[in-house]
Amino acid sequence: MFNLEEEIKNWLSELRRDPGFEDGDIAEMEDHILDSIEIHIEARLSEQEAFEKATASFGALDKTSSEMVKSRTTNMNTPRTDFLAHNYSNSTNMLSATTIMFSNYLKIAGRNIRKQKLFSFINILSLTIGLAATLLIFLFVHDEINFDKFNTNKADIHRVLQVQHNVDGSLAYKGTSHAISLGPELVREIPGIIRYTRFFEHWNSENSYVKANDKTFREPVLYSDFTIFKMFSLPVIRGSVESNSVHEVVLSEKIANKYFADENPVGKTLSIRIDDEFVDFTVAAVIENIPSNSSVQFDLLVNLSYLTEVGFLKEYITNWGFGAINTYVQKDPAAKIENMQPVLDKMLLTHYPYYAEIAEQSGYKTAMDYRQLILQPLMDIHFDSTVTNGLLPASNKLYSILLGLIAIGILLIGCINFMNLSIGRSSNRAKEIGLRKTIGANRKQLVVQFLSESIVLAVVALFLALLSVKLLLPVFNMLTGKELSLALLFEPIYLLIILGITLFTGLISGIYPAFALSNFKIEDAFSGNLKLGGSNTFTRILVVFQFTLATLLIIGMLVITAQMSYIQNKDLGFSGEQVVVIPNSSINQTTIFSHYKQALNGVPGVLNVASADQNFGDKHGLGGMGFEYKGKEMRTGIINVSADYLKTIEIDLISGRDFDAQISTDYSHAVIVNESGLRDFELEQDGIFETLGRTGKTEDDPVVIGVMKDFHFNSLTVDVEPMLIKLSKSENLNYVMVKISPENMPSTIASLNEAWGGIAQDLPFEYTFLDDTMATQYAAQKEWSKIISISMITAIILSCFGLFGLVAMAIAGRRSEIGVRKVLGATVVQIVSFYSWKYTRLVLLSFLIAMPVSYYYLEKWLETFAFRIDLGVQIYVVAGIITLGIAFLTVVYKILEAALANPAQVLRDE
Amino acid sequence: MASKGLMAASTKPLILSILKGGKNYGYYITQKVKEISDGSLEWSDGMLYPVLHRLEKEGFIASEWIITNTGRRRKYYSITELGKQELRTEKENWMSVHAVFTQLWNLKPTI
Repeated sequence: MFNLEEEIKNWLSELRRDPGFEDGDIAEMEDHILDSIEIHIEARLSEQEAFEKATASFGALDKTSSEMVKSRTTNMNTPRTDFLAHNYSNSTNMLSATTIMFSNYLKIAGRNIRKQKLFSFINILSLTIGLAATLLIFLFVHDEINFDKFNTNKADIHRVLQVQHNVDGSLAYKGTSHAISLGPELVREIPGIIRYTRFFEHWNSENSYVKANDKTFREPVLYSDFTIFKMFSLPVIRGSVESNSVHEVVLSEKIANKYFADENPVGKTLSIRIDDEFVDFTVAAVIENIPSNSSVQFDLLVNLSYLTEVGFLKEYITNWGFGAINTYVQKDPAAKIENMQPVLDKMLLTHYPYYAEIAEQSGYKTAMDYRQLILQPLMDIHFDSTVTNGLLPASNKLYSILLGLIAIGILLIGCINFMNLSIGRSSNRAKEIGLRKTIGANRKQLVVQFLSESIVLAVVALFLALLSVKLLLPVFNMLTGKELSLALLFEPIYLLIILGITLFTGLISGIYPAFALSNFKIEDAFSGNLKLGGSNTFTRILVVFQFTLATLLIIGMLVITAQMSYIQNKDLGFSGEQVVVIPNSSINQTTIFSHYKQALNGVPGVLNVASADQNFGDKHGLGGMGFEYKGKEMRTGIINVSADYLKTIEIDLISGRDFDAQISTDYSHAVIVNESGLRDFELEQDGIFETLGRTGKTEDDPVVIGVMKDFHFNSLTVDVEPMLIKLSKSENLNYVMVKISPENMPSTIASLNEAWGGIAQDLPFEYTFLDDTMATQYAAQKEWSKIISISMITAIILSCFGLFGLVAMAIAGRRSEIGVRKVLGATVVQIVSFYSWKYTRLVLLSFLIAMPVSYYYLEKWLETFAFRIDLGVQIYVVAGIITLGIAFLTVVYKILEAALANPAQVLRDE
Repeated sequence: MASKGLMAASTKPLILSILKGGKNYGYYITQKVKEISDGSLEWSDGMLYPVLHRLEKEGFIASEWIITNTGRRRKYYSITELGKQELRTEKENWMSVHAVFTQLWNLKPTI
């Protein structure tokens, strides 16, 4: 039976498939053919005859279609001389033909995006996430490698280092702490050095009390010569940095606003508590806030001359044995550092003649092989992690490289998704390609078409990526402690780079599909003989590569997380929980501690009060002393404490006894050592610790009265050093420690605050918990573990997206195959395991590749910890279960859907 | 039957002439051409549309969609001022060619 409606529908859908017709054209043709058919039917023709006649008189569709295309390209101003010529084709102009071609590609691309929503979504999302990760990490790495670059004099600024080598030539130590007079001496002795700037951080100066406008704050304070403003590019907003008086400070804009709000701070007075006394300073100038990528950081800078001319450094000015000053110098642009080395070597030996002796006795060839002063370029400072006590902790270059690699990895995973899905989708597009080839498209045009498609998608993804970066940047800044700004990306050079990356991404993603698809043979395209996607070797390699990357990140994340939790949960040998640490201060001849002890007596919730001269987790490590002991250079940490110290932080004694405030000789002659000290110094309990008698008289040598368990007062990246604790009579030890009960902590803290107010009302009550201070030592590692975890989750989600799409497509083409298998008796389980194995085995292979690679790198990372987990089988088992599990579920979800379908339904549709 | 070249050259004045009589749609135009030329000028219907679109693009005709009383969308074309001018030029051109041929073909061979 002839079905007119059906036939018209077919005729129209043929039109629709033809890219030459636009939507409006199709409606117009529809109207035409219907008119035509109606007229024929009115003339008493049968429906079939009417349809055939109408379509015949309409003529061949492809001819109309190509004329349609031409009609859109016709030059508007057809010259009149063309009058009798066949002007429709002659007037086609190459440029507009290209435009029309591209607009057609765009249209087809748009239709494909709409037609296959899931795959388009996965494609764009993959590229978006890939590009967003790349942009973020680009910002990060850019900031890292441009650290300090904003300084105009960057090429001439150098940090002075004192380097010590071992006899075998390996690096023993790089020191930044120099004598006060080193800077002036360098300028005097070396003509090429034009300027020096010295920096000093007073004890606890990262937490100084600052009184301004009748309010007291706790603020980090840096002491420095005002030459800093000539050396570094720190623009002055107000006031002058020509130092006129030692009582001058310079504020950052941020802190100036905090202290003086809208008033002009220049000329105003503020007081800083130095050595337990408030000293008045005048604000000399306000500078712009220092960018986060500067290795010199301060908000409040005090003229160093105050300390060297008035304060406690005065008595050390000529003392070359006193080393505490970070020294930077600026050279004349024309001067060469190499030429300065002989002078530096000579200078060191002039001031430290005993280095030559030590070098000779220890078997160094020259004194320079033992110790040397060197000048380190400013631009090298940020990444030099061998220097432990610089102004800012150094950054590990490895992390930047690692992040860069992760970004490339995520971008690649996104590109691979794109490639795989495009190849997989190709069979659906085979007819389009066949048609294009039939009407004369050459391979080059097809390649251009597919590449422009992927580039368009990449550009769309770029916009989405920029949007996501904008949203994510605040979080990312918080995580990395940086001040990254999106604005950087819009500077012309970076905009070009980004566009470059995007185009490159589009090209990389599109290049294989483009060449593979354009290579179709026309007859294959129409006969449906194409088997691409999923079964293609190239696709399989890509999947393996993708999952290897994802697995590497998973294993990395597991190990890093495990190590971090090991560190945090390791029994440190003492308890920092509920230990409130408050800085001690002297108040009118007495100290906060002496009052506090009394005031807190009987306050509910307060368990113990003690004081000590050192806190744990200090970035400079634990203070102590080094000395020669039985012919060896040894070192021990020393903490001076009040009587209840061990009880307050719950250090266990293995043997002997705790200090007793009632025994007067405990103050003069008792020490408690840790296990490491007992072992390294070969001591005995109740024995004499000889070398510690500082007067050299035997009767002053202390007695070991107890042995305490080793506890980790430093970061777990280092071993436990020997340590001893001495009982001190001083009430002015630097820290007060209060152990409080875990119950009703807020009310106990409130009582502490109240008691504080009664003692030192003009100082703000600020405290930290000891365990928090310990935790800050791992802040960097924690941040990294967060960043890596997020990257890893992104990577695995993206990979699974890709795999999901791939399976979905492969299965879509095999529905009938699965139907036939079912009809022939295969069970759902058999079908699922048969098809899922095809993909799961790829993931398994990735896992096998990722295992040794990850083992190598993680072992290296773990070696940076003195206390670490072992890379056991269980981590790999867990990683394997996660990767394979997620991949398997992804695959099975899609396959199951096909396997559960009613074969009758599937096969009927076929 | 007119040659392909002649057909191509004559479509423009043909369409413009028909539309000068009032706005109309594609199918009507094809039928009108067939009717007037009594079949000696015959396109395949489909080929009319690219020409219409080109003329529209060149500004000689304008189009609008109208919903017919049967609910169908139909695209109507009408001649523009520019089109009328173009038609006049075309007419002059065709007439001058026509004049040339008339003269040529009315002349007796000189032997």
